[in-house]
Amino acid sequence: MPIYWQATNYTELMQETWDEETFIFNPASGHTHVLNAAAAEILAILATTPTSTDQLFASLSDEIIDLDQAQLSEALNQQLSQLHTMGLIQANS
Amino acid sequence: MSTALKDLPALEERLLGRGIKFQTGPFLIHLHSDHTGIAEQLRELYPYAPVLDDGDKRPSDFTVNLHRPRGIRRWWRPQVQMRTDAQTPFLPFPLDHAFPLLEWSYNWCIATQAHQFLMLHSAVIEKDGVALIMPAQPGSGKSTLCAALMLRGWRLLSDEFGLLRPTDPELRLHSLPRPIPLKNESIEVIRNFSDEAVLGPTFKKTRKGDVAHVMASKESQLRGQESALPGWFLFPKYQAGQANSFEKLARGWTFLKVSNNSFNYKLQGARGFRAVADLVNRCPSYALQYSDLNSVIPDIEKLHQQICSKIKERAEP
Repeated sequence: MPIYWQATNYTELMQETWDEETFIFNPASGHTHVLNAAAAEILAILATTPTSTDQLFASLSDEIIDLDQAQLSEALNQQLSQLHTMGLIQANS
Repeated sequence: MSTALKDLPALEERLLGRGIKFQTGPFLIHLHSDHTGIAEQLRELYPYAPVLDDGDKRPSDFTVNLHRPRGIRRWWRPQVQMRTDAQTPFLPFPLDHAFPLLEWSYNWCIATQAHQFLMLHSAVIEKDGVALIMPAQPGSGKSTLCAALMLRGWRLLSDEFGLLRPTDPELRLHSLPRPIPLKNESIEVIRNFSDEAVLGPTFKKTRKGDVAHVMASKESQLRGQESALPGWFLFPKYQAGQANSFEKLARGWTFLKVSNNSFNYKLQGARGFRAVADLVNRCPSYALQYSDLNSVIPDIEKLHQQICSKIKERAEP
């Protein structure tokens, strides 16, 4: 069974984007996070529907052309891991 | 009804007895002291602070008791201690450092209790109704620049606290006109900068080095209940030999600096985030390098005028 990721409480988050950075306040944790553009986009995707890592990879690979597949996969896993650690996404299998 | 502190009769006796309740900005402080030597510095540095008349029973925001510990320390290397609400947050100070202890005690009371405000760790100074916010950066020369601007006619809101109510749609900055503490070389810089600087005594070898306080200008003290619109952020940095240079700063960087420098951003939660973000969206932000007060002040005033004009344009229908 693939792991499906989804945003934990996206509608409750407060967000502000300046330049390439998105500042997010999570009222559930009381923490403020700074996301780069890629992480913010992944979070926005995961807010709409639970998505597997492979589906995310497919959706991002069309847009991100300056990384090869291995680099993109590594970057995606890193971003997901960070979002998970921040408590902004959760995994459902 | 109230009386200006400088005109209050029998201040020493009052401090020893029921204490005095005096107002600075939004806070009413109830001060007791068995060290009456502090009265002279209060008259010198808070002369226009309104002191409530005895019949006025308004509750104070903070109670501070400066007292001389009993025992041998009353006589041998005498000390003074601060107590507030049965707490003694600081170790005793030498008796002749009672005034700095009072000021740090007052800061401590505000920073730990006044959570009706979002408290930015900043100097705030006003001209034409618009506030310039200078977030604290250790060793930046923020207090020196703040004192110099005040001595050129700006109104001091605070050297230490940018106070705003996070639910206020205008995010107005509140006044807290207290003495500006100068450290080490800054003391002589300001003494030489203006004959109008009213400086208290220099307290040698405090925990922050030599410290002397500049009185908040008479106008700043008398207008202690007037708030100001937020205008802009300035992050000054004194750099010997450096020509004046302004650099526009990114909003994200400013947000991080301002929120991390706040006394209670985390405690304010979502409303703190919203307030700082709104403030950053409204206020342009600059870094300043300077070495000469006389030449940098006209440059700051020019930029301030441009920002005031933009605020006025936005306000017009």
